[in-house]
Parts: sequence; structure tokens; C-alpha cells
Amino acid sequence: MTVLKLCGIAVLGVAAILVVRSAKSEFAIPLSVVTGTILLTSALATVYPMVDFVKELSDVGSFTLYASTILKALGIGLLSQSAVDFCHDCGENAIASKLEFAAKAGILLLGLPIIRELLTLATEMMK
Amino acid sequence: MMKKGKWLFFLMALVVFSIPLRAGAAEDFGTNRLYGTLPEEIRSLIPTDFFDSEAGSVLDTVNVGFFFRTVGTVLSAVLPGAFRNLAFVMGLLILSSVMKTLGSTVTSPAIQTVFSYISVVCVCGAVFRITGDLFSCMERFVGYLHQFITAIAPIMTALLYACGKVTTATVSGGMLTLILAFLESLCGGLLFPVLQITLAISVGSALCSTVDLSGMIAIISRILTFTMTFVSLLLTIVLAIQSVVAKSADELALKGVKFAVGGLVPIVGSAIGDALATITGGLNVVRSVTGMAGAVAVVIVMLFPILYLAVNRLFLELSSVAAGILMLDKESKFLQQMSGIVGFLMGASALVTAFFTVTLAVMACIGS
Repeated sequence: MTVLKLCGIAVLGVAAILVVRSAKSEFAIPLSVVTGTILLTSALATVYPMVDFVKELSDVGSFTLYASTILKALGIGLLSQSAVDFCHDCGENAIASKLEFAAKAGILLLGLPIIRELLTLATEMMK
Repeated sequence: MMKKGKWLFFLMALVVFSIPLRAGAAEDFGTNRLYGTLPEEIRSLIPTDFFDSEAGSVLDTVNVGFFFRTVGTVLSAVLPGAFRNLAFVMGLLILSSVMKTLGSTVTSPAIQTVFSYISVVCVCGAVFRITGDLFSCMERFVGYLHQFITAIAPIMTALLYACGKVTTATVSGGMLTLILAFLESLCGGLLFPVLQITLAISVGSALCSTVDLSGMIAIISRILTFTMTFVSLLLTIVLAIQSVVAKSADELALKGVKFAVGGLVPIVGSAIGDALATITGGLNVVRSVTGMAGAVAVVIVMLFPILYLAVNRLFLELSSVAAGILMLDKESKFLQQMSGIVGFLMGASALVTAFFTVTLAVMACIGS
């Protein structure tokens, strides 16, 4: 989906939310979630060819582990940011901060194999 | 009287012609076994009869063209591996830069910090692996050098004894063994552990954003530079003094022997003295050829790791510059520090090469 279409969806979504909020406020939040999800999935679909290219490059350059770690971290970050924003919009700041913490822990966990590899290399060198 | 003179002349001729005078008389001193002590990667660069050749043949082989060809061959062997390392690091840097750009859309500062941490961890892991390979390469070639020096040291000592340079043989042989042991202890006991600690501190400094350990790395670098400079100076002074003193002692001893032979042996004393000088002259040629061939072999053996380290250092510097351009400041600083560590490895390799080359050249040329 082109950027122009995404801009159109965003503007229409915001307008619809404003109208729905004044009529039936309980439907505003689900509408906001739907609009955000459409925009996020469209953006990710645009990025997908780049991910394929990076995968090909990493296979050739033998840095698959590092490339997959970086891409997964990026994915977790973007998805968790969307969810945190949604929590803030609903006024649930406590849930948002806990979700942030979970995202941080998930990203750090991704780096664990590389840190383990670093420590193994360091131990071998010391021997 | 005439009969005694004839017998003495006959004995003298027997002594002179029973000892081979050609420089190619390698089997008596084992120089033909030296080629087998060289590593497989290097054998294609040196002719098989390099250590057994005559002086003229060695002069024809070892010329400027030979060195340029050797450097070209070694470069063509090391460049593909170094380019792979460069592509590896550059690919990761570009990926980190893209991640940083996309990650800037994330408004949460906590998640942005973790993004930055993961990017640094990935680059550190990749570069650490490359640097580890460089350490292994250098250790391997220092091991090959040890093997070669252990083989050539007794041969050169035996040749020096045979040439009548007893003091020089004792001193030089002992010196070569001492330098070998000292440099091995220095590399294995001090240099490599300190460089590995510096590597670990660099990684820690890159990963911990709150702690800046670059000051510690700078101090360690200064200490290492001072140590290597001091060791170079010390070994140079000792080598120079011992060579000069041993040479003087041998010259005096040889003059004494010639005088004694000339004075004590009737009629043919001076002729025997001249014959001995001819014999030692022939052995000097063997010694010069073997020593210089050994010095050339040392340079060629260590050319591979030195060029490999030099090319990788250059590529790490390029990667550091690229990281700076891509606004990856931590990664750029880390790559700069890695480049410095590889520079120290190069310095240590060059130090080891220079000392063994000079020592073998001194053993080859002293008193000739």
C-alpha cells in the first residue's frame, strides 16, 4: 500500500474516531485500535522486501545470527511501542510501563546467544 | 728428510681435499632438513634447495623481484579473507544504522536504549570473533617460527664452530636460544594476555554506556608501547655488544692458532696455516648462505601474519570511519580500539621477525 493511501487511511481514521467519540465514546478506542493495526501491518508489509534482502545478505556474509537478532529486536520494539501507545491512549499507564519492561526483557533475551558466544570466545582466548 | 717432507705434503693434501669446499655441502651440517621445518603455506614461496644452494644460486634467487613476487603472492592469499571480514562488519554496521533509524520512531526511551545495546552487542560479537581469529593466526605463525629457529640454531652454531669461531658460536647459539625463549615468554606471558584483557575492556566499555573505560585502555596501550620499545632496545644492545666482543676474541684466538701452527710445525707450518684458512673460507661460504637463507626464510614465514594483520587493521579503520558516518558513535569508537589492538599484534610480529632476522644475519656475516 502506498504512503498516500496510508496517509488517507490515517486521516479518515482520526476523523471517524472524533465523530464516534462525540456520539458513542465506547467505540472510539476499538476504532483507534483497528486504524492503528491497519497502518502498522501496511507499514510492515512495505518493509518486508527489505527484510528479505537483509536475509539474503546475511546468508552470503555469514552474519545470520546477528541479522536475525537485530530484525527480531526491531519487530518486538515496533509492536510493543504500538501496544504501549494504545495503553497510554486508554489511560492505562501502569499496564503501559509493564509492557515496556516486558519488551525490554524480550529484546535483551534476544542478545543472550551473542553474549554467550562472546564469553565463549573470550574463555577460549584466555586458554 | 726429503721422504718426511713428501709424507707431510701427502698428508696435507689428504686433509685439504677430504673436506668438501663447495657451498653445497649441506648434508654434513643438516641444512637440507631446514626446508621441511617450514610451514606448508610458505613452502611454495621458497625453492626446495634454497638452504642447500651455492652462493651464486642464492644470489640469483633472492633479488628485488623475488620479494615483490612473494609479497604479491601473500597479499593475494590474505586479501579474500580480509575482504570477507570487511563485508561482514560493514553489513552489520549498515543493519545497525537502519535499525537505529527505524528505532527512532519508537518513542519509549527505554526501548530505544535497548535497541542501541543490541546493536552494539551484535557489532562487538562480530568484531570479537574476527580479532580472535587474528590472535590465533599470529600464535600459529609464531609457533612455526619457533620450529624453524629451533632447527636452524644448532646448524648455525655447528658451522660457526667449524669455522673456528668458538666464542661467537657459543655466544650466538646461546643468544638465539635466549631470544627465542624470552620472546616466547614475552608474547605468551605478557603481550597476549594484556591484549586479551584490553579486548575484553573494550567490549565492556562499548556495552556499558554508563562506564567509560577508554582511559584504562589508553594506559594499557602506553605500558605496552613502553615495554616493547624497552625490550627492542635491550636486545639490540646485548646483541651488538656480544657480537663485537665475541668477534674480537675469535680473531685473537685464530691469529694465535695460525702463529702456533706456523711456528711449531716445521717446513710446512705456514702451508698448513694457509690450508686451514682455505678450509674455513669454504665453510664461511656455507655459513653465509645458510644464515642469509635462514634470515630470508624468517622474513617470509612472518610476512603472512604481518600482512594479514595489516590488511585487517586497515579494514577495521575503514569500518570505524564508516560507523562514524552512519552516526554509530559507540561502534565507531569500539572499532577504533580494535584497530589499535591489531596494531599491537603487528608490532609484536615485526619485533620477533626483526630480531631473528638480524641475529641470523649476524651469525652469517660475523668475521667473514
